Amino acid sequence: MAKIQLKDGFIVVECEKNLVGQECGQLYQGIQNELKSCEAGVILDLKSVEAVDMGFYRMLAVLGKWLRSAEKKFFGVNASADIAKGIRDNGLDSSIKMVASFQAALGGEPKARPSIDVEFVNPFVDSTIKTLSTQCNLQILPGKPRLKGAEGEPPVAIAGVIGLTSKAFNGSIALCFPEKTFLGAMEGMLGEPFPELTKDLEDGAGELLNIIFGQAKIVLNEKGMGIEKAIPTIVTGQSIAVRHLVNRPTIVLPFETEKGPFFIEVGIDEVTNQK
Amino acid sequence: MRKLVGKTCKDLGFTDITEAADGAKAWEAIMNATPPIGLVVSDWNMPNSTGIDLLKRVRADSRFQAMPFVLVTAEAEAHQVKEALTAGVDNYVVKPFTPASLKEKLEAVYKKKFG
Repeated sequence: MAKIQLKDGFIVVECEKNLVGQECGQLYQGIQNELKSCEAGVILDLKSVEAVDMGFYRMLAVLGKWLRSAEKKFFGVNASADIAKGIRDNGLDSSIKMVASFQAALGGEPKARPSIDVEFVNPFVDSTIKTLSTQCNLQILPGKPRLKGAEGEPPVAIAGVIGLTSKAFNGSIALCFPEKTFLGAMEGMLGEPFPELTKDLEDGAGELLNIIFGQAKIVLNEKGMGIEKAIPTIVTGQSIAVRHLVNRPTIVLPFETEKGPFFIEVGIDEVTNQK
Repeated sequence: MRKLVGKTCKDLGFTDITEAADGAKAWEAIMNATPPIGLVVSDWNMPNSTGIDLLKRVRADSRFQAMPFVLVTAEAEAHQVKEALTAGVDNYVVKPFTPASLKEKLEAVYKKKFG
């Protein structure tokens, strides 16, 4: 099996000697499993590769296309002259950029954001999918994370906001629903349709955020982040906006469901040791 | 969450269900119930008195030491599970949960206590 690890926001893949047949499929699957943790892109270390087939080139084409659409980088390093030629001959030099060293790949392209964001945000994405699918019986499709304001967010009728206090970060997280999506989620949770937002139902937003926060907190605290317990606040209204009092840009994690869209906002600042 | 747990209990066939908005009200209901409450399903996070506070109160009273008690919670860190077990919880339902998983836990507790 190829060795896959995360380094400076990149997925670094130490490829095996033979990349033919099923081995390409296994490698592709291995990389796919890590893609959500990948912030900057993928680097294939081709140093040991001696034999490839068309499956390898197809894999490069598919990965290259995906990474380009996700605005991430795709590098190949340490390729033999034959492998590099094969990549060029198959018209893949626009999919994967061949560079001479890891340094050229790692240092040549600035990261979009510090890796701490991914480390922090992924548990919330996973926990949101698990919570809404289990508790509300919804099919959840995560979208591409973006900075708040980069695209128009759907109008929010109800939001649960929770403050974050930890050794490493301070800030807040908001779970934001348009009315239709929220009523659909409550219908999925309680098994009956609701025509409008009521006081009783508003507690449901806090409950969902509590569960999402609780699940993510377990994962983050296992990494030593020391996140403390917090109580959510519910905000309702027409086209409400949540303002996170942090210096860094707020990250929006969009999700789609069969009942409509919703999103999570994450506003965090790293704690600096001031004396 | 109370609505969801209440609905699941009804679906399970429980008919005499007493709901309480917080731990303090639940304690009052437990003390005043005739006939006695047969099973408590409590959230961990509640205003006034939490689920773990309620559990400790229940276990400290000789009348209720054998009362089946299930905690429903998003708090599943190891130290919290340990605290609940030490306090004498019979089972522990971690949110998010499906009605089927809640049913399974409640049935297990009920069978263990009442056969």
